[in-house]
Amino acid sequence: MNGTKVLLVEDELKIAEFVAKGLKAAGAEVTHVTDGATGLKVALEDAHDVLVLDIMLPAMNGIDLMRELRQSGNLRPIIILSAKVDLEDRLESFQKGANDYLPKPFYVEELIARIKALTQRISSESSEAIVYKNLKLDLVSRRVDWQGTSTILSPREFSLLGYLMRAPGHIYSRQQILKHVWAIDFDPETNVVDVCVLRIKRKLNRKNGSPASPIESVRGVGYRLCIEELE
Amino acid sequence: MKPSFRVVLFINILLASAVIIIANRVAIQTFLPLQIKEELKTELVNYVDECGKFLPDREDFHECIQTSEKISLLKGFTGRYVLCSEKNITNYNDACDSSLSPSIKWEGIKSSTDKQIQYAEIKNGETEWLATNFYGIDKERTVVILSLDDVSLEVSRMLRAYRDKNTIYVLPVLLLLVLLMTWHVFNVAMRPIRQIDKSITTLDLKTFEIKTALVAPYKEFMNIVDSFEALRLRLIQSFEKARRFASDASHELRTPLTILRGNAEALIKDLPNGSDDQIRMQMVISEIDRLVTITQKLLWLSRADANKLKPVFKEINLSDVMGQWVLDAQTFNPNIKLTGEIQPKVTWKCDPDLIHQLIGNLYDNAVKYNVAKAWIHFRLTQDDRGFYLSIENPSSPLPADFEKQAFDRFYRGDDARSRSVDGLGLGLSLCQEIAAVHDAQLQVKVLDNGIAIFTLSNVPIRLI
Repeated sequence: MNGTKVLLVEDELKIAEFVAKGLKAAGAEVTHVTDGATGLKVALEDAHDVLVLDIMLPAMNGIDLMRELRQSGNLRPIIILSAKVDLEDRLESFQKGANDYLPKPFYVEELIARIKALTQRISSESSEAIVYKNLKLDLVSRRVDWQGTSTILSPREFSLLGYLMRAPGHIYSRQQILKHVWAIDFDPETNVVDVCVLRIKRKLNRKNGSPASPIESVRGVGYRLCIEELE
Repeated sequence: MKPSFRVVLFINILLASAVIIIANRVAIQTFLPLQIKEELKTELVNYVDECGKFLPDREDFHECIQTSEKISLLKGFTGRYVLCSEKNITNYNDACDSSLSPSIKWEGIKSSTDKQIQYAEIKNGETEWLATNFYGIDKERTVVILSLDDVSLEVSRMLRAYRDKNTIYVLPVLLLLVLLMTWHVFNVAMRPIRQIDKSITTLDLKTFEIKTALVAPYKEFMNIVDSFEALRLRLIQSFEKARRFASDASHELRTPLTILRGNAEALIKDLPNGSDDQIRMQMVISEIDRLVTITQKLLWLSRADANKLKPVFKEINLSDVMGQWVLDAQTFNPNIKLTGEIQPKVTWKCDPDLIHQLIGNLYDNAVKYNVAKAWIHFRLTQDDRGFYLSIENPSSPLPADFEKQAFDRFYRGDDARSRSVDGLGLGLSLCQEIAAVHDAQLQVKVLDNGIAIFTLSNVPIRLI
């Protein structure tokens, strides 16, 4: 997301700080304002690619800001960050013009992935495959191509690799992967993530015999898509 | 066992009826003789007036009396009167002396024959006599005296016989009437109570809202209704406070948790991969994630309490869902022997996400409290009433109250055992709330051999 202009409207400085840091690290240009009125002013004046908006804001709340913005004809994508997780709150946000909704607490990497998805959608890029350097994952056929090896992944393997590819280099914990791939938010005292990663590695190594793998295990932390190996 | 209000009411009405009957009888026994006495006076005077013309011919007089008494109150009079005459005394007795004595104070009655007839009550010893002074054609004074005691006794005996005979026929009718009266009074008395009860039973125990307005049917019930209404409002307020507290706390915790996790995440990225510091930071994130899960569960529970856990219903193939769970569970925990008995084509209209969470929680429990990681058995069956989804596992020894309290919030079974297991005791409670919003039932049964069976069903479950 090099050069993506993000307007971050968040009154909680400590949250804004690490969000901005994460977005900048991912290559975005971040403008941060702390209240709704300023946020609206900046959003109307400056051209940004995406607006990341908190709901509970001083001066003007996020919902009002969004309504004003949409009424003025601004159709830039908006991602809501909110501590409110009730369905009604989410639905209200979407009704008032939000494109996405991320409940707190969230992972910055997930925010980045969603910003990418939104900006890609806007720029009408092909969404049939995720490509990162020489690793390509076909979203329709679940086929993965890497260093001359082409293989079909099982749904779980596909989901896991796709998840890691959303934020190359970012380390995902086993719990995060479990939650995303198996949709469970408890710890079943399992090594199923390791087994699944191992299966992906084996499939990708089978043909070229190379021990190298696009997935790197980070001891005691989790897994990440290895950016160095893929250079 | 509580006594039946109907029976109590019946007994009371029966007692009240008995008191009324007894009082009536006592009253009759007390006042009737007096009345009879008055009647006797009149009748005696009438007799003497009527039959006195035959005097001093006693035979004719007697015959006249006999004819009259057949239709009279004075039955048995014939054998009981005494004729006292100044000249010719028949069956004379002591009372005659008194009746003929000049000291008697006679009272006059104007009789039908325009003759002056007098009467008096005289007392001779213990016996009371009623005397009628009659002047015959020959101006000879004849006094007819009648022992009141005798006649009273006779009349009383007759009355008693009549009364007892009456009672035999009347008593069953009376009992039947009492029963009917009880039934009627019970219904009348219970009607307002039933009305209030009906309103109260529509009380939603989560919101304390009543669907039927609580109205006092009679003024006597206004207090009870007002008290209930006040109690309900107080409950709503305190419950709302408690619920809001959980909801607010859950929301408020999200911001610091976001900051904590965001920074920890950033730190992890900055630290060298695989370093001890990075691993420690990952442990911090795991703990933060646990806190997030707890706040999420608290929020869900507070939403359930406020009836805001709104399922989005969709018809799902429960057999497929369970089949997937068995497959996943086999990959999750290869050390646990997993068996499944899944009846195919069982469908259910439910919220797939909520049910996924429910089954996940039950499975998580089955893993955590499994004795020596032995086995878990999934079962899904269906009969013509509905489906039964159960998860069984051999459990560590469970307290005796487990079946009753397993779904209570923050209940964690045996402390010593559960301390080593993560969790706050909210999972099962949440499961039950999820079951409740689906109008389904979730129950647990612990068998004698220590096997715990959690069963979810869309019909009332009768566990063996």
